[in-house]
Amino acid sequence: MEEYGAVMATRTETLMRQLAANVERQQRTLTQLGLVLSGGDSRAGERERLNTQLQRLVSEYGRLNDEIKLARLETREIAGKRRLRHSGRTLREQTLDILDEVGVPMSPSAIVEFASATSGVTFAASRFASLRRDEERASRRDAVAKPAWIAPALSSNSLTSIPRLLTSTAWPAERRLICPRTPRVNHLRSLLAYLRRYELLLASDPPRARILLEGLIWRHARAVPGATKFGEAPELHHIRNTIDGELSLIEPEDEAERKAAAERLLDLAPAFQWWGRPTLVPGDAFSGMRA
Amino acid sequence: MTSAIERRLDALRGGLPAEEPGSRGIERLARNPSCFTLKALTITGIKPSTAASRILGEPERSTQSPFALVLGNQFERRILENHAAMLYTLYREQGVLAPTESRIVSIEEFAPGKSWLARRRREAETRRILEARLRGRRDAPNILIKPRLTIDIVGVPHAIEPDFLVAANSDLFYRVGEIKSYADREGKTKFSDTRSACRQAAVGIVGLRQELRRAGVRDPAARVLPSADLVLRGPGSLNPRLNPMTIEGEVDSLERAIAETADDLDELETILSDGAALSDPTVLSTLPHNYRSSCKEHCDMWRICRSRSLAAGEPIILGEPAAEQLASAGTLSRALDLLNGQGAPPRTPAEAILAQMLRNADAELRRAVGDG
Repeated sequence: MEEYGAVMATRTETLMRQLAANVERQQRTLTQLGLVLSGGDSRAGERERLNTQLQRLVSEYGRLNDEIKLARLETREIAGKRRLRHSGRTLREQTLDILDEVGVPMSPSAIVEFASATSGVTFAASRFASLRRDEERASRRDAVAKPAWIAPALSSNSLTSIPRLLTSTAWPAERRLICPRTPRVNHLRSLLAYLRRYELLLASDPPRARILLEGLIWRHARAVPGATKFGEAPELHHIRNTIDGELSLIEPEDEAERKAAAERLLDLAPAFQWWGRPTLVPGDAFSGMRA
Repeated sequence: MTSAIERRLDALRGGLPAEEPGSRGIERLARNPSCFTLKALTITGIKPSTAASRILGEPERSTQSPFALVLGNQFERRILENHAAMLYTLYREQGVLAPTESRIVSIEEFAPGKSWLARRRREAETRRILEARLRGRRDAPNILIKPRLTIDIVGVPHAIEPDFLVAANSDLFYRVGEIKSYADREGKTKFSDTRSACRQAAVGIVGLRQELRRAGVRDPAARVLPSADLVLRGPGSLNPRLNPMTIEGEVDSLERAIAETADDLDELETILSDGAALSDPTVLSTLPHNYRSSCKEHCDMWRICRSRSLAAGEPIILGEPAAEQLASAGTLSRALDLLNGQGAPPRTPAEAILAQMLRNADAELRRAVGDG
């Protein structure tokens, strides 16, 4: 655990260096912009290019600053005790818990929404990009270091990654695959997870259940044909029955398609089974479409 | 795109970077097909806003309301969130899709972002799905969100991303759909809003037809019909309403305008002297134009073109009806001469008729206001 503190201190130093480099780039960009505005550089489009570059650098500065604050907070703890965020668990842990509870691939925004609605914990969806990259890097160094990694969902057709959907590598292959019907199945399954949580919370804290979850359930149930009626309060039993009805029509075929794709996936090298095959893009813009 | 065409367009732009027109820019070609300035800018890859501000020095003005932008983004997000769950429900409630026709694919998810690789990947995935649909494969999606199509203009591929494509299993091929946050007031919905959305959908239809042609389909128009779905917003809410539209006229005019662009490029090079480029304000401001009162809806050059028309005394300044009636005079000053019996006598029978009409109208006006 002391090593953890040392690691975080090193991380702070790295972030400070990145911050310094960012400030230097901002200063150079501002100097160039000053030159353009004073008429010293008349290249067409230069002012807009520099503006965009400056905005990007400022945004990166904000992100690095936040990372430094977090890293400093984490190193300030007594040796042997890791600083915990918000609910006491890291983003990684909360994400894996939510994925396991809902049971289907989810986008970062859906995970954030679920966390906020069910436990009041908030975190930024923008943090998932770096989480995803860190997970892949760490797993490639030592795949057995953790029992489960956060990995992208995989397309059933090309077996390549779908970066905006997250899964757990602890799941069987077919649960991490996306076929054409899977998004619809996943939306219905997610709503069932919301209903389960709502019923649990209703038993222990009815006002909180209504505040946190009722509006969300109504909004999502509106996207299930026949589940809701305008002007009437959502009726949970009816919503659940409607969802089950639609799932009974589409889920069996979706499951069969995913299982068939899973067989192809399991023929690939282990690293590809989690992170997907490399993406190949045809060199000719029109290739594949010519007669 | 061949390097020869790339060099020609680079030379015509005179150092300005090429700008993608997008659906809005491409549909402009059909809005005013007689305006050579608009065609020249679109073909060479210069947006009218860039031409007006950067080349001709007009102050930059934002033409879109920030409130409309926020509402538009919010509405689109609502319709397309959770893999277009609301959109799918809308089609189910309207009886267009059956419960088992729930194959939904989001192209953006495969490769999000603006990098070159991400865009190529989205194009490749779109083409794969269109081909699957062409071959009648059972796993072809019923709703395709943000497909990336390519429209070829003078050999230059331009990418467009319609909001979605939709097809029931029994449909011939996909239909283009556009999501707009305009309030659906049925017969009282603002016509210019609907027309703009229809024109954008027409761009999607032309894009689909070109993709099928590249795939070897002989008659793409038989598969991609000139109809589109507009998803508008119920007044005072974010609930969607489906509006199927037939847009034959919009598609035909756009296809004609695109077909003429190769000749337009040759003509542009003929008009410009050696080495002349559109980045030169003197060159740009002397290109033939065709100012219309509707230009302000879609083209940021409208103030400049209106000023030119005013300076030239063109009757269009008074509106389309006046321009039509005064056509035989040619200019406002000639029309005034005919009215007042000044200048040269009527040169043609049409001028003579116009002169008489103007004098009669003037006499009526004077009687009406009590001038005897």
